[in-house]
Amino acid sequence: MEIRIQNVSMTYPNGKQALKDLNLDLQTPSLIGLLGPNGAGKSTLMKLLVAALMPTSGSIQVDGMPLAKTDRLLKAQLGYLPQDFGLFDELTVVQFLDYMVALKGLRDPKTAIQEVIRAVNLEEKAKAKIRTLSGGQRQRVGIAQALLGNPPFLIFDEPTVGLDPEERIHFRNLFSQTAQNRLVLLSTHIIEDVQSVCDQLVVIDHGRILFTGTPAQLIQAAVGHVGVFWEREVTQGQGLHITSRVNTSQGIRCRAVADTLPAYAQPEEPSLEDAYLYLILQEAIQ
Amino acid sequence: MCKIFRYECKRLLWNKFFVGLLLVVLFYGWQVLNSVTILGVSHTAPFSPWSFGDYLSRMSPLLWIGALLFLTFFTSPKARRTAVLIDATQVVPRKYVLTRCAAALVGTGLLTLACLVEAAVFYGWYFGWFDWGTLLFPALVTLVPLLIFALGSGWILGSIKPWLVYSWMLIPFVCMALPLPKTLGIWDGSFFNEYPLTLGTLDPSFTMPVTVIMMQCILLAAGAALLFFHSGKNRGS
Amino acid sequence: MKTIQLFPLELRRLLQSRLTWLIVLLTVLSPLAGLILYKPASASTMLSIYLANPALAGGVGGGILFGLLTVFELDRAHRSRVAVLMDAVVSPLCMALVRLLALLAAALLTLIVTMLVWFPISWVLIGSVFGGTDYVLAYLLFMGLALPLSILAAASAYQMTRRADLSLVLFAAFAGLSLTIWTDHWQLCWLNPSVWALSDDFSNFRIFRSVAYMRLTWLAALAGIWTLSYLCVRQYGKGLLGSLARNMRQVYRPMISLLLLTCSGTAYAVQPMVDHSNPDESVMSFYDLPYLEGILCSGRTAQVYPNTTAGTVTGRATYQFQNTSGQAQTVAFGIQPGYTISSVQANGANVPFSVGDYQEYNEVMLEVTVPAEEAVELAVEYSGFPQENRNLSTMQGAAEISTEYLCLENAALAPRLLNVLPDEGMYPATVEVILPSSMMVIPFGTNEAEIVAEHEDGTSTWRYEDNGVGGILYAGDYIRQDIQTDGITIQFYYGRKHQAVMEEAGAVNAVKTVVDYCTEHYGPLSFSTGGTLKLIQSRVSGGGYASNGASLLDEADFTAANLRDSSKGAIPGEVMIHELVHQWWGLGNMFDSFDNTNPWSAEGLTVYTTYRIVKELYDEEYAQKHYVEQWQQAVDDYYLNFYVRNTEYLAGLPEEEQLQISNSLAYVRQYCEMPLKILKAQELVGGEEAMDQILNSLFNRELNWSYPYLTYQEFLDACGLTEEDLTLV
Repeated sequence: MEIRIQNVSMTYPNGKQALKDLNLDLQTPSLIGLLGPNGAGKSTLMKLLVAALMPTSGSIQVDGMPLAKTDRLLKAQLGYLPQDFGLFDELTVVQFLDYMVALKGLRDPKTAIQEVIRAVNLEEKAKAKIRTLSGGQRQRVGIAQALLGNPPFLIFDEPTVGLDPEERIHFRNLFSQTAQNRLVLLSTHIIEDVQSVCDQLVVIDHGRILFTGTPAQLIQAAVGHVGVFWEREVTQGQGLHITSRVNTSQGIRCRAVADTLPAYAQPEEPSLEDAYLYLILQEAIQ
Repeated sequence: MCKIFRYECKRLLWNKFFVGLLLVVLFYGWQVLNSVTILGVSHTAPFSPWSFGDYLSRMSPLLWIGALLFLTFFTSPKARRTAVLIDATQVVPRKYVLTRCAAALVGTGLLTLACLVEAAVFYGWYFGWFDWGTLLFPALVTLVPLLIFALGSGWILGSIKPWLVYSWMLIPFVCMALPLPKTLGIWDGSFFNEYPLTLGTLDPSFTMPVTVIMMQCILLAAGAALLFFHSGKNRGS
Repeated sequence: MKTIQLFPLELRRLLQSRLTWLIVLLTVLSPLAGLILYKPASASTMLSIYLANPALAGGVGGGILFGLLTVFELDRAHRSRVAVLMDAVVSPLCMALVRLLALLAAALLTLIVTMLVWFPISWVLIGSVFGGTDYVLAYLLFMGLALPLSILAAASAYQMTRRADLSLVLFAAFAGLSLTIWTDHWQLCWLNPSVWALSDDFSNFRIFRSVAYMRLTWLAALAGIWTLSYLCVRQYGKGLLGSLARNMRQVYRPMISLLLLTCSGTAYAVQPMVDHSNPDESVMSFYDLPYLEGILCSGRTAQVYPNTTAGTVTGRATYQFQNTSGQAQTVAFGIQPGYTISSVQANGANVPFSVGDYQEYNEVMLEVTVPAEEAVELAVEYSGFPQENRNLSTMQGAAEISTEYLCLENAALAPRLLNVLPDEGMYPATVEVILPSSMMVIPFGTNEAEIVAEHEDGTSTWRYEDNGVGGILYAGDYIRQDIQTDGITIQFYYGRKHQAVMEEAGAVNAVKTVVDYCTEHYGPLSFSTGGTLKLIQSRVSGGGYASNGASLLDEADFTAANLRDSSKGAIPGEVMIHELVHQWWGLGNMFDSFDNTNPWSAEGLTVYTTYRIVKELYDEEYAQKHYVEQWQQAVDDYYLNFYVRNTEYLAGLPEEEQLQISNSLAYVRQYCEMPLKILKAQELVGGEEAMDQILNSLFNRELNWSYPYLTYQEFLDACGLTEEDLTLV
């Protein structure tokens, strides 16, 4: 599956420009992490990809065909977990998934439901009414419905919100396995999730793409711009963006990103989080 | 779509809202039957199509509210949050909306059926009267256009703004307060009280002037058209 | 304590909502509907039109709006998912109470704003009869109390069901029942109290008391239900029953609910406003009691002390009996069902008595054992709050007792003797009544009352002589105007506040015209008391009556509203015409009044004559429409009624419905069918002039003293017709 986004801009009726002249190619198999600060345009991009919105200009092509003409075809191959969604509280987990199976027109609903319930670890709650589920369990129902029928194209918007650490690791692995033969787009704020599973990264801010490439490429770009120092050594902090402060027996150890590191800072190997923050910092400076 | 229909029916009917609504409708109906219908309207028997029609028109505000409340299951802000998931599926919007509408229609139909059964029990109990076939036509002509129109118009309004459905519930009360033209007599019940007196015979059989039939047909057509055209535009809500 | 702290916070939040202000605005405007669309008070007095109707409409509109606001506000926390945050800081029970208090405060605020806005408008509309007390009480009771009732009902529904949609349906049905099915039950219509009229010229405390009683009964009931629903407020993730069980652990909570519901149930069951008279008005068993042998009544007295503040009456009545039977006798009296008998003494000694359970025509039977002594003076002490006839429970207000007005009729004045014949054909009676000096006492009949003592506390004792077992007494802030007509002096009594309207309406001329018409057509009245006739304006009551020497004029006969109404402006009060005509047709030896189901009664000729007066002296078209066509309509409605045509179904109906149909028969036959027959007779005998001559001859006929009453046969004979000739098709 190949999705080509060409010169796409999106302006909402209230005048807010969410995306500006966006170009992006997505191909199977890959697990693409979509990163960006709040309000960067991530959710808008996802809505465009699920044909919930039409771009103001530009085109989106799915396997060479314009999305506007093939939206049913796209939806037949799509699993989507939005950031904010509702469930039918009065149904049980199985009933809700059965409902979604019917909407998706899948054959052999029983097996499909069993598979996804197992995948999201909800066997115990399969017959529970949705209204009785916790926030994390509801999130897992949302993931389960997206996985129904093994769709070749999956979009997850903040999928691990509300999950406990153990579940997060479980889902990271699940996404990683899922992406072996599919196209998975994962939007999240949690860099760890992206770092551990994504083979490709897209960073957007203010409706523009700041970076596309592998996590290693993003980290490489930040080499020499990450340093550590003792807080007591700080003489001038201009241009310095502290990313962590750790209390130690010798004092407070700080980690920071900067375009030019000060002399008292000792260069350090950047993490993906450092690299992301450095990218956003650069954008802000520009 | 059968499965969707089944689940939608379950959502609408298998809850305390429907049970509560049913009890309220039955209680209200029994009060109407015992206080008003029992005396008959326009010199006719309590079990004449005219008195029965009067009973139905007195019940119609509650049925109207019931039908619109069923729609709130699909148009409420909470339901709209689920629509995000549904919009991402390949389901044909028109089919889906019509399926949901059919479920709402079943709910409304069950409420109506409860009213009819209650009246049948009442007629059997008090008068030993069981010739229910004669009441079918007035029941159909009174309620079907009204309820289809309620669903069609309510669906459109609900998809614009959820609170509009609640405002639309006040329409029957507005109709009761305003002087309506005779062609809309079914809406405020005046048709069943006034028209038989103009027929010049005692215990007239049930007939309707062409204008009233046309008005009911227009309502029915308008309701169906609103449902059909709207169903093509929207699915989740 | 927390509740008190949170209340201003919640009220401020509520008042910051645009929806609240929209509801407040619509509620303030809702009395407007009472001027245009919703007019439950049908009387034509100014206060009915411009005060009662707007206030009632305000109550209905405001009540519904505040019910909706309540559901919306209670659901808001769940809808916007802040409940989980709030529950973490404040107990849901505490918050439920705070929300209720905030809504009630908003309702109070709305009421105050409404009253301020509508005060000048009402003043201008009502004109000279506007009164501040009536205004405040009408808005407080008719409108104000509807708001807390609606809030409690809607909040209870929501707290029990925790669903906005179901709460809306429950509230809609509850309001719908009050507005439709329950309108005939004054205690059930919680939203729209049964108020059919407010008096312009006299006070309205009785109807205000009745509405207040109904409202307070419902307030207790709904507060009880709310307390019960308060126990259902969901806590600790439990459902309805779980939360209920948990919240009931503090025993005082269910006890309060139970107490309120018991209070309400008791208040409903033992309401003091209306009696339990037999709804079958064809039964007059008190009149059918056989007279006792060997005992006669030679006279009676009554000392009556109305309490014009509390609306109650205390009295002492004495009866002189000649018991020649040599044995104890059980004497029966009809007493006001609202009164209790504190003691009955015969010649100074207590004697046994009992008060029955059966009531009819606003009376209950008191039975007293009179000892076997030849001369017995029986003294009965009674007191209480007069109740009104339950068959007129949606038209309450007649039993008004205040410093402005009172009317005590028969058993409400003093126990009415039922089964003892008079000595020498007379029941001489002396009645004394103590009232504020500002009130004028007017006995309804030929007698005059006079002041016999004036007291330091601003009251006076009035005394008058009467004859008969009953008697009617009017008192109030009246003025008297004497009208001279052909040989009769009419003492015209009307309320002081009404003077301007009476003068503008030309009431004196209207009265004179009616008397002249009847005298000219049927002959002069023969009076036993020097040719005087009292015409007394009663508080608005929807009708009237007449007796020898007195007729009633309804307050609504002449109102400023009627004068403004061009379609009715020219026609004077029809109750006044009707009751004056009764002096010719209906009193003395004219009709046998013992059978109230007989179609041939005083009403046939009186209604016919009223029609003729309206037709000839005022408006022919109006007379045709409001008399002939309405008679015909009523007769048609009755005879075409399904149950009248198919009597086999009638027996299957509940008793109340059966009586409703059978009671309407007597009315239709006397008031509608007979006038139609007389009208037909008029056509057959050659027209109005010929009929007038026949009626003149009947009025002046020579009486057969063995049966002096005018019979239908005599009427037919005078017309030269048979019963069949007058059969209506």
